[in-house]
Amino acid sequence: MLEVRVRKVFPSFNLDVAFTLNGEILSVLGPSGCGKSMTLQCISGLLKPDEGRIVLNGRVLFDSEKAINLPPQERRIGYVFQNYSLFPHMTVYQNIAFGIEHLGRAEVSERVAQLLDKMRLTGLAGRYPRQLSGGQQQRAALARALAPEPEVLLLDEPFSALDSLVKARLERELQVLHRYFKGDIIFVTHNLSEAYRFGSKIAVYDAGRILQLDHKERVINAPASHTVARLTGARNFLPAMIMEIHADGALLMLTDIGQEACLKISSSFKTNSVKENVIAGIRPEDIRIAGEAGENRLPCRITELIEGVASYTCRLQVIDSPDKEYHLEAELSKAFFAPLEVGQECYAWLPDTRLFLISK
Amino acid sequence: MENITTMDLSPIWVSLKTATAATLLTFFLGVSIAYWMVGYQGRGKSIIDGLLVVPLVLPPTVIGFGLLMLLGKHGPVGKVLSHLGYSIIFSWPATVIAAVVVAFPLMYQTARGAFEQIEPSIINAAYTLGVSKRKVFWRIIVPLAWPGIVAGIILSFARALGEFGATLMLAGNIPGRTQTIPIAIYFANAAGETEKALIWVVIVLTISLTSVFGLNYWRSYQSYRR
Amino acid sequence: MRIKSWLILMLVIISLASTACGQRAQQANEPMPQKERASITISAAASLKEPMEEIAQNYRTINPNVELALNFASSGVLQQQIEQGAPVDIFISAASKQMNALEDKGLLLEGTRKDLLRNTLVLVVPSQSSVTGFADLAGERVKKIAIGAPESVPAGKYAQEVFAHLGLTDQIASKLVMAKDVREVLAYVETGNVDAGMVYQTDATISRKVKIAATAPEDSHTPIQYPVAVIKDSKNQVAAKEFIQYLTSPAAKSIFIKYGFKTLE
Repeated sequence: MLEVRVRKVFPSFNLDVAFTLNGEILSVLGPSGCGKSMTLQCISGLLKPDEGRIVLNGRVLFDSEKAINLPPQERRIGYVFQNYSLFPHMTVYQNIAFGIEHLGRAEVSERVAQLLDKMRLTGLAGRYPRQLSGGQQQRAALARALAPEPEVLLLDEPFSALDSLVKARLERELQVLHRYFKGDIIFVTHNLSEAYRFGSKIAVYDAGRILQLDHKERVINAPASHTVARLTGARNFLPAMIMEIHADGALLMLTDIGQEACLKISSSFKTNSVKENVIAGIRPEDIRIAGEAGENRLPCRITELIEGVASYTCRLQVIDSPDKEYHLEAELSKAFFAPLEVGQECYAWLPDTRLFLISK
Repeated sequence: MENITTMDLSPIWVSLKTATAATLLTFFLGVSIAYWMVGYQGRGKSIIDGLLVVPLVLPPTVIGFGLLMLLGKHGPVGKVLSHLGYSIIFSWPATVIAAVVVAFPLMYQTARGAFEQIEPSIINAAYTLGVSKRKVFWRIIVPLAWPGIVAGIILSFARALGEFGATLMLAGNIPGRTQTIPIAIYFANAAGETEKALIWVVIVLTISLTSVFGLNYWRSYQSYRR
Repeated sequence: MRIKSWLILMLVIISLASTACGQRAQQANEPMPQKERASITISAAASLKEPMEEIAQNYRTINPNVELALNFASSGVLQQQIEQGAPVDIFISAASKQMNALEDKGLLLEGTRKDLLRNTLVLVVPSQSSVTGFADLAGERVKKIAIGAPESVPAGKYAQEVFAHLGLTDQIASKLVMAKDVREVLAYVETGNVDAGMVYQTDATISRKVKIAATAPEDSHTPIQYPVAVIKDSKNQVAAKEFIQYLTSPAAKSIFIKYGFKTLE
């Protein structure tokens, strides 16, 4: 179990985060330069926080009040750096063995062989890092970090330098990682898709703070704030007022459109009240296109259409909005929708179960 | 007319002894101070760096004068030594001191550059693996900085070999003891013994060029291996 | 970037200013630019520094249209410079050896060589030293002895002869420190970095930080003679000859004597 609470002042922002992990994979998601890597560095002891406490499996790694600050060597954490940082003057074998040399040749030999096997690097033991491909270097760096049997594993943007094919393969392997590595894993990325696929929980970072740390489904489908929603790619924000509240949902009126646009939303609303102003959101991939009117359907015209490999990115202008140009962004799978055209009129269907509320 | 078989060849041994001793001292001083400076985060870092490098840009006579003031009989250090019965001036150790002062900036700068070009994340990775700082220094930092350090060693050697002005002021011209090859050249020329001077020039050129070419050859061999 | 340009500008201004000042100082030495001007360079042994400077100063008031440049170093170095083609008009050496070398190479203007001065060699020690004579040089107290490098400094050659004459050569061989000219020997003794040195009497009298421990007997070395001559390639032979004439005049002689030299005649 890993308890982290750190605070550190930087020129452009203040890092102020706290969380606890228990045998799970945490994906840390956020834009570049918002403190994700620095959190890893604080946990590993490479960076000293101004204030805070870090406890790993009952051992205190850092405590600013008690002036405890263990050096990285004693923390038993494994760290895979963004550009792998393999030792260029050593072979793969020597790299992996470097942290466990004190165990004696037989033990070292056995452990390295096991790791080479798990990471599919057998046969490459005698190569130098410059002779390996990106994916192989990545796996070697991972093997090296795992060799001393650390209690927590920190991965700093491990996929950023890889092409998509290699990335897909590596992702699959890292899924399996949890079979033989039982400790906590923290995985830092700026890519939402990676964060979702790899972790069980997601922590969304912005400017040194954690905006939301939750199971990944909740982060995606129930973002806690406008920023989280934006950072997780929920691009549609609809100002609304709550008209009615029922046991299983509520009725909203979209304030910018008018009386005619009411949406039913299915969620529990213990803390909201009637006449409250809120923001309703929906993810682009949850919007559907329909030919006829109906519940939660708004009349629209397609104003932009970009055809992707598997889906359309669509901008829909809501007809009937009095003052503003009211737009929705939709991501429509090609498998389900017939070819569309710009200028086409249709109904945008916002399913009630896919809408979420962000309090204003 | 003297030729190479009849002339006193002691300057070769004096020069080689001095240059070797100076290079060894400079190596330890230069590498350790460079390593310390890389990690130093305190104030005045650039001032300290400037002071360490200043012998590079000072005329050797200024260096000689400064050392003389410091180590001479009436200087702060010289006084203490004199009470203990030692005199540094006009002794062989003085040649080494002068050579170390002028060669140090070269070793320091190249060593520091060699350390700084190592990716910090490589060193950090080593720390996170549980490896002690000392082991990281000898197994990671030194091997990765080695080509640069060797270049510094060769440069220091060549510089120590060629040192004249400060050496003459501090160690004087004592044949067989402090008369290095450059000093022998100067006095041979003053005495009108141009052949002798020429022989010395050729000898010292050979030694220096061999070291520099040797370095270049070794360097290209290294990069080929990589 | 702006600071850099300012610095460069400053450097340029300073260099221009110094050259301008240098030129102005030169012009101050030439109060009558209209007359025919000659400039002669005199290379003189290091031991002649003080008397020659005074003599030159006097000469300038008598002969303002002659510009004098004085160049002091050991006789060996000066001889080398002349042999390598330095534009020197007059050479005054502290021994015959260097002048002979030039004469053998045909570099002297015929008929201009003269013997000018005599000097005495003395053993000097730091003012506080307890050394009282040549005999002490072989003892424990004397660890280092400075002499001019014999091959290029006449005073060093004379010193070697004195040591040989006194039978001290072997005992002091390991104590010798070779200097590049006789003034450097003096400086070494003054700073106390050597325990004794051999210089001319005229050098010893100039310094207040040394005392004479002994004088070399006249017969212990080749007579110390200072020959003077005009260099053949001189471009101002007339002016040079005139100056040498002045060197033998009573006015000049009295200056030499003042500094301890002995003149001929």
